[in-house]
Amino acid sequence: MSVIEHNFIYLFFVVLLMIGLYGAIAKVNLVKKLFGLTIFQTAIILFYVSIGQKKGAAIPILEVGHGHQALPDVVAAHYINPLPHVLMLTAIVVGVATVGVALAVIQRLYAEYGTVEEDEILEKIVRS
Amino acid sequence: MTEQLIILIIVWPLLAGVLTALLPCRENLLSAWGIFNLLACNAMGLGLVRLVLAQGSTSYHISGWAPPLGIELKVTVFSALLSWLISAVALFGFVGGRRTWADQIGERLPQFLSLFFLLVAAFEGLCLSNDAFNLYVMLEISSLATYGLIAFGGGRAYLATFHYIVMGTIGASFYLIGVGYLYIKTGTLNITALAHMIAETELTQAYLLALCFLITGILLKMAVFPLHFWLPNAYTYAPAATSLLVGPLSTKLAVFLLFRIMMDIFGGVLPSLHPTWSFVIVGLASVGILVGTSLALAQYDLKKTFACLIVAEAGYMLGGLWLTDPRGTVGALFHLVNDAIATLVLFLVVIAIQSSVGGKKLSDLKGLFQKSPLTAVALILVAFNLIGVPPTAGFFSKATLMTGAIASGRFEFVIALLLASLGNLVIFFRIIEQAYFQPQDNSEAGRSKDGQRAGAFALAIGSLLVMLGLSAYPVMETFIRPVVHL
Repeated sequence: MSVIEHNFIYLFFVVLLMIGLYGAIAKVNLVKKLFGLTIFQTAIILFYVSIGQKKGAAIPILEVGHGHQALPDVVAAHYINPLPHVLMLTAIVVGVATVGVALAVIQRLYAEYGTVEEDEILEKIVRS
Repeated sequence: MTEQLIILIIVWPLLAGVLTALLPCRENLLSAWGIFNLLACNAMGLGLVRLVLAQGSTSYHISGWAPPLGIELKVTVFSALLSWLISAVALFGFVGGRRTWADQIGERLPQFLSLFFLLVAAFEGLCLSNDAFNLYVMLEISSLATYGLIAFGGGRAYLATFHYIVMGTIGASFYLIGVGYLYIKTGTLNITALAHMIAETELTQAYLLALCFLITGILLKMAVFPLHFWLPNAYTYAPAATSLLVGPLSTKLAVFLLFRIMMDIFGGVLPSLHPTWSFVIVGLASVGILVGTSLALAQYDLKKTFACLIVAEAGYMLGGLWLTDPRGTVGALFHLVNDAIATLVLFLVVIAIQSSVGGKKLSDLKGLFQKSPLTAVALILVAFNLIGVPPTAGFFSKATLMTGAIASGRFEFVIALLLASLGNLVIFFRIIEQAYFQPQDNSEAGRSKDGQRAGAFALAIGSLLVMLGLSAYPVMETFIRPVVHL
């Protein structure tokens, strides 16, 4: 029981990751595939954000900025790690761009074949 | 001062890409603008090569922030050569693809070229960055630009693009998970710092899992069997101008990324990984080579045949990198350079054939020798390279790979390489048989000027393969051996 308690966030990450992977690979509907892909990416973002967390730490904002005076002693343990959050800002942008491109492609596919079901599209390709 | 070249070679095509989207759709203007920018990239690439030959590996700190805080770019002898190769392939691909713009791209040409430059910038970034997360971003920028460039093909390209998006994103995400694991264990993303920490600590399961994720992600991008199925269709239905840039470089940069992970991140512990990992991965690569070659044998469309050959070539390099003998790694990196040029020539030949005989099916090739002799000679030259006939570079890369494989005792890899050469022989014999011996249907058909010109260009680029072959050992000693620490 305590294993689950201590590693809850990681287990949650893995479950979410597998749901996303299943959706991206097994679904026949292209939009659903894309949903799976988005869940997959979001799981990774969640994982990264969770690793910046520390018990009893504050948000990483210093009251005295650099350039003003000598910095007061900063104890890293008092602040959560902001780096993974910053990294994930970039990853979110990449994710948004990917979804944008994928939706545009799906739209073109719908205009071309009149459906977003992969098997029906393949059938039409084979027939033509 | 010359260190600034390291960032400039990434920023220049990036800015050129943004500006290109604003230009009017006039073919001559865009063509001159593109050649100007790519010539500048080539000059910078050459400058980088001179820089590293003069003073060895050089680092550049973006905005002056030193590594523990900032992002570091680093150029080694091999990455300098590779960044020049990227600029050169982009230039030749750009020039060779110009005549297909009117037919295949039409009025969206500025947007197309915008993505083209963005892709060049991303490739340069992938080649020069020394930060594991930065590499992820560059990997994704290059993939996103590629999705757009392939989707320009229209029709069947859309479904192929969608499959590529799904597989490419999964691959990059796996890489990202691997980087996350390494970050948790070490607290850094800088590759040099990662290497120091990993060399000092005991290799726990978390590290091995991170390596698993990193490798799986990259194998997806490299299109190694059994993760290859997205590649042939995506490259076949892409516009000709796209294939000329994406085909030669995309999978090769994934190979280079894999090399960075093995040598620059896990280099210190690589010998302890070798016994088990090498066994599995070289075996996989051998199967991949055979499957890729058999797939190529089964095709009737020339472009698809060549796309399937890319799958096989990825196997050569993957296997070579994981051989325990340093000659395997050297051979794999030399093959990377050689195969980038060879793939460029293959796709140039496809364009030349299409404009000479009006099709790219095997049965369209009748009478190619009469209609466009230069194209046919270029085809034979690149066929020699892929089969491995001296003095083309393909012979030297295969010879080095095989020496490495024999020294490591991996005979299944040797057999796969030999069978692949045999397969390539059959593939190209079929093509040349059609082109040379089959009687021409319509002897009236005049020689098309475009086909002649495209053929001459392909032959000119193809002659680089012979030059690279003749200078094979100096190139290996100067540019490749120093970065292989085995």
